[in-house]
Amino acid sequence: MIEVSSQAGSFIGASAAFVVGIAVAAIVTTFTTSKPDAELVGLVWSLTPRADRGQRRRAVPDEAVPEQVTAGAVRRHTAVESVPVAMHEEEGAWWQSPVVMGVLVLVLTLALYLMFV
Amino acid sequence: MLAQADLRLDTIWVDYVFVVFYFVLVLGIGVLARRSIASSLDFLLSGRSLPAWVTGLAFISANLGAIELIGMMANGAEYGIATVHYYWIGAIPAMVFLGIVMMPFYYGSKARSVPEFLLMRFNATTQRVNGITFALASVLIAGVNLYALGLILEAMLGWSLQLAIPVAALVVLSYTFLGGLNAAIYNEVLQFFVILALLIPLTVTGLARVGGWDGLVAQVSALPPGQEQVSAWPGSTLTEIANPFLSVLGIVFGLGFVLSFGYWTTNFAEVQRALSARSMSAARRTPIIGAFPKALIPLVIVIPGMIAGVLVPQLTTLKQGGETEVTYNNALSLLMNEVLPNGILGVALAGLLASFMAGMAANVSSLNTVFTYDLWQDWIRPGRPDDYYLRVGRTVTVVGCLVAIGTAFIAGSFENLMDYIQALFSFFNAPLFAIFILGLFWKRMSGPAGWTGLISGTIAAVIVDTLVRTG
Repeated sequence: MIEVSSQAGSFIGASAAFVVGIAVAAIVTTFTTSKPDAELVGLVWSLTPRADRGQRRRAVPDEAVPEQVTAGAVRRHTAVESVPVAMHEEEGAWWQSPVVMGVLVLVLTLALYLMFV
Repeated sequence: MLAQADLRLDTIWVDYVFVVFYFVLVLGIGVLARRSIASSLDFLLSGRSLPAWVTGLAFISANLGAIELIGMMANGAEYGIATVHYYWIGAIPAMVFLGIVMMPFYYGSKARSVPEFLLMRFNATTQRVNGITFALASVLIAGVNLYALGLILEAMLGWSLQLAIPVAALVVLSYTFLGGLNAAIYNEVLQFFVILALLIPLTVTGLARVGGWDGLVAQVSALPPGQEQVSAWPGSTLTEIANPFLSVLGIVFGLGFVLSFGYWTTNFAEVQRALSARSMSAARRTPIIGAFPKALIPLVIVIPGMIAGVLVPQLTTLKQGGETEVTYNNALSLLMNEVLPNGILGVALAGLLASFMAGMAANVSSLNTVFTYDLWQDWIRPGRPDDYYLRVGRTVTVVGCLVAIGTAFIAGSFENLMDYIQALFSFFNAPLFAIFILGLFWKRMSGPAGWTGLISGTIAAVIVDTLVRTG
């Protein structure tokens, strides 16, 4: 039906999967209830303030949660407590900073591209 | 792929000394790593204690499996310099994005796996759907690496595949069973250097044979399709798009966005290496430290691929459109036989074995974690003591390796392994990336939207795949 090589075919397949996945998720969201903001802290970009980005969520151990073994499912994460984590611990030198190193490797890649245009 | 007759290597006893020495080292690491295992978290996530350079090298080694090495060298021989796009635009930006933007959420959530992150963001159904598809994809891809590993043992020792594949599985099994993720990761660091010990001599001696870089460019340009093989852009042979502008667009958005972000940001076999880092900063640096070797490694994969295209007579015939019994997938082994002297050949073989074991161990160790935590502990048998789950983890290692023996023979029945792998990625990684990115930036996205998006995306990819195959 679609006449392309298998390599181009898997690219079209991946794109289709991406677009359909987004579309269906968006449609289903309009019919279902969203989670309350409080449960999404640290999991969604806009609900995670910059200073806290990287705060540690700790699931309360199983014993502390009343076990509801409904159909074999235990909700391990019904209660989540947040403890702050040092986002930049062990980042003393420039080569320990993810952002600096990230920019460096992008520059290296660009330089390699220029060598092999 | 990998016609057996062409893989027969001219090995002598000196070569085997290196190979045996390497195997002893690999098993030794497994035994040493066993000492540090007291809990399931130690076994399945290295107790979150590893420094960034270790997880960073393991991150890249886990990716340097059979497909990468054989497939990209084949692409180098077939498409020339344009193959670098798979690395420079198809990997580096996604790896930096994973480290800087996504890792705070992954590591910060303290999820032990990608499916567990989906449980937190969406719901249990999404976790289970992803857990099952991931387990399935893991054993299928482990089979591909195992099949390639078996082919090497066959070429070296003349064993049949029926014997070589189970023996190869036993080696990977023994060190991952003993030392868990720790053994897998420390072996990956070792494997990284051993793989380089294969690739660097191959490139240097190869370049010497063709008269250096200028000689290579001249000889590649002289063969069809000519000049376009020695420049990266617009890469029309790679994309099969004649219009240069659309071809560049295809590379940037197709390869650079959907495929590469889908693979690097959601593939748990990779992400797991970062989750085992000892701090947030180390976790964020893991993919970025891995990106440095990833940016440089095409120099010792794509260039030897191009050298193979001009130096190996059968491949030259292939490029000229002639009839020959070899395929581009044989480029690596043909070039090894062509340029490497005995002794170095042994080191190179150890490198090849290292690469395929790294690939398979990465699949098996990530399968362990997802099966034990996401499918067993969170779903089928919750609320047991930790040592129960440690035993489950070890059992899954054994079962995973046994199943991989079966899937290795499935992989062997496919004519082109690269197509098989690409199809698997479009089924599993692309839909996962879609719901991941939407869920990260759109807080209203609901729990049920997670698993419905996953399943419908997979169905869409399967339909396209069927249409392409029947087309």
